[in-house]
Amino acid sequence: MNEELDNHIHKLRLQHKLSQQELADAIGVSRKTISTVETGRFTPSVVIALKIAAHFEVPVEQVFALK
Amino acid sequence: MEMDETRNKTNESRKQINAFLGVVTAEVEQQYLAYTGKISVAAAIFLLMSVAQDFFGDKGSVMYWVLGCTMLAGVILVFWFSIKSMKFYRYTNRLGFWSLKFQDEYADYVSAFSLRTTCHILMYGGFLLAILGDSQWFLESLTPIGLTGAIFVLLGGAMLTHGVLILWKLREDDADE
Repeated sequence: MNEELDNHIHKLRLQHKLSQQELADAIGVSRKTISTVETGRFTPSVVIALKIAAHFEVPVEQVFALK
Repeated sequence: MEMDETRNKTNESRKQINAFLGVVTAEVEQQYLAYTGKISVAAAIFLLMSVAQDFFGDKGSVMYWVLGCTMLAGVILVFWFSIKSMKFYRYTNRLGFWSLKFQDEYADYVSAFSLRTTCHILMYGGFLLAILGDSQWFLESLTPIGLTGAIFVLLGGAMLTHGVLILWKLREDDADE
């Protein structure tokens, strides 16, 4: 668990009615990558963070934030 | 419910198309990584059981046969998983197949993490064996298994760590909501 990083992927997914698999397919990663990022077990690279933010059309700070 | 079925069908079709086209997907990389983990665990079983056989089993005892059968199962599993993993040669890139470097970030992280841990175990274990290998007291303390057995234990421990870490990190326990 990353104690310093908070993310709002789950909330954004619910708002956009997206499954983890659909989000994973959209940005070209595995579902496992999305689920581990979402639960804070894996910290993604800047590229994936930006891709997720771009997919939801929000600034990256709205997806990831320091606790 | 209907939406879930449609979604599953779409995912299944997508997987079939990707498999047909030979596209390297993140899922394929994770499946291949999982196979390498299983091969490591099976190889570790073989190595550790062969040492255990030297240590515990008197020839002809039940324990000897049980350990022998487990060892044989380990060898069969290594071959079985190796043959099954060969099909990924077409679907993963060559770099990923041989060096366990993957394009999917999580698969690459798991692979790197397990290899790094294994490398540390081999490095420090090998260092100890190299330093102490000539000492008489050390060889006497290894009497039942010998120096070769100690190397088997080191290799078995390292491979077991490699496999277990991969399978543990790739476990499917995250609910998809």
